[in-house]
Amino acid sequence: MHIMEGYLDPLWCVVWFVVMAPFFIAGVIKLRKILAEHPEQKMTVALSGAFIFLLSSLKLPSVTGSCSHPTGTGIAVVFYGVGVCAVLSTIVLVFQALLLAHGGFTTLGANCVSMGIIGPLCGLLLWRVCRGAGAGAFVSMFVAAFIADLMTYVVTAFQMALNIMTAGDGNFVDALIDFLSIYAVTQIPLAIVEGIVLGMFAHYLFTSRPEIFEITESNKLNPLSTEA
Amino acid sequence: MSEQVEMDELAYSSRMVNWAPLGKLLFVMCLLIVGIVTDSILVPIISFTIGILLMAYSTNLKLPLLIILAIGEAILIMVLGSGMISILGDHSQPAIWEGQFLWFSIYMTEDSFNLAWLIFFRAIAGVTLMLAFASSTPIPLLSYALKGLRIPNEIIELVVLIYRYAFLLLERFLIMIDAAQCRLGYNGSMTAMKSYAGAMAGTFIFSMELAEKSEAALACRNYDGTFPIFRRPANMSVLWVILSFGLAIGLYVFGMYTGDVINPAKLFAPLFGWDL
Repeated sequence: MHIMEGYLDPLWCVVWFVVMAPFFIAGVIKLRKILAEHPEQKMTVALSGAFIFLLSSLKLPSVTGSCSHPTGTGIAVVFYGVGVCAVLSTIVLVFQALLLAHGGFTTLGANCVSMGIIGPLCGLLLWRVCRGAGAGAFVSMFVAAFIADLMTYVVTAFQMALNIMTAGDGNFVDALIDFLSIYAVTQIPLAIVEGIVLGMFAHYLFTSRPEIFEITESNKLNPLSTEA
Repeated sequence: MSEQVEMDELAYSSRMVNWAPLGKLLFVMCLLIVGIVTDSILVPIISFTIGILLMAYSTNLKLPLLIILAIGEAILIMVLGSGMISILGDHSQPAIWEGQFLWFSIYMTEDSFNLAWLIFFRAIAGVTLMLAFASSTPIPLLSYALKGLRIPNEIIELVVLIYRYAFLLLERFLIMIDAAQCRLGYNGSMTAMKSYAGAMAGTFIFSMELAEKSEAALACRNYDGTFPIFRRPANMSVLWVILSFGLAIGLYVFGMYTGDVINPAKLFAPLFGWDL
């Protein structure tokens, strides 16, 4: 879903960086608190980032100036919240731009907002709703990962349609429908697969190491929360 | 993902590995930004040329096949993306091509066609510049250099850890994929999905075990949050700042006067029979 380098107008590059900044800063503050209070979490946080990198590198070209792939952010957001997920996603996005020619520097803000903030925020919300309703780990994680993945692509389509509207004076609604419909072909099956995989994973963890999920209870829905 | 391994090897053997990482980063960022703030197609073409020349010098013209394939894949995405821009033109302008394909309504105007070419060259220039940087700058050296920008130590540490663990996870993931293939794990879409899901779940579970082992292993080596580097990267000199900003300003001014020099729609008009 990463928007390629050079695709966005300078205006939108700045706008999305400004949108991303407070979440990123809140994430850094929270991350520092987590690592100070629970140093043993350092490796798990890093591995969550590496896992996001691994999953989101499995890409398929999509007819939109972007591509489709699992996002892998469902786990990170459930464990550490939106802010930390935004930080991890930013690091991963920089690696992908540099090492895989996937995404870009000027589009980093837009890509982080879609993959690292809004998508995961929706996923976390659904995780909370499902857990509150008494759903099991598999169902809750399936819903969270599925929605996090889909919302990431909805936001990306929205960002690109906005850009089409201002850069080329194109019709926003037409562009949004075109982008969404193309993404849907590749992304809905991928989101289902990602949901199943992460659901299986959550079920395994919940039965073998339930203490890991204790940290998820302390996560605030407020994406700007810095409480560890 | 194997591109990452290739890129790491390439970076350590680059002829530009001893150049200041922050200097290279500033240079690339200046060219990327000037590329998107000018409307002249010549500016991204010049940036693309600079990127190609730097990449050729950095790698001694020995780009691994995997990297070439990655660039090819990126170009494919760019072609598709630029194509989308070209068919979503402003309906208040006359169309040079109008029609319907599946659910797409095609409305290509001269402006949307020209914009598509501009964005294509911006994107391709961005890829060559970023790869020139990546193929000459190992991530551990870059993260060390980032300390000079007062980026929090925790973030720098995470950058290095994520980078290192990505290799380990990749190795394990590829083993699982190969094992699934040996058991005809991709015979049919449902089986393929299960194999794919199993490999991903297995990789994460492995990563949790790896985290515990790594913590103990690093603690045994007195790990205090920093990874020592024996050959420290060069510091960014004033020359880098002058070169980067000078070139960016020069290209911006050049772009102001060459905005209309190349009109791709008029170039292609005879080929497609467009009446412009």
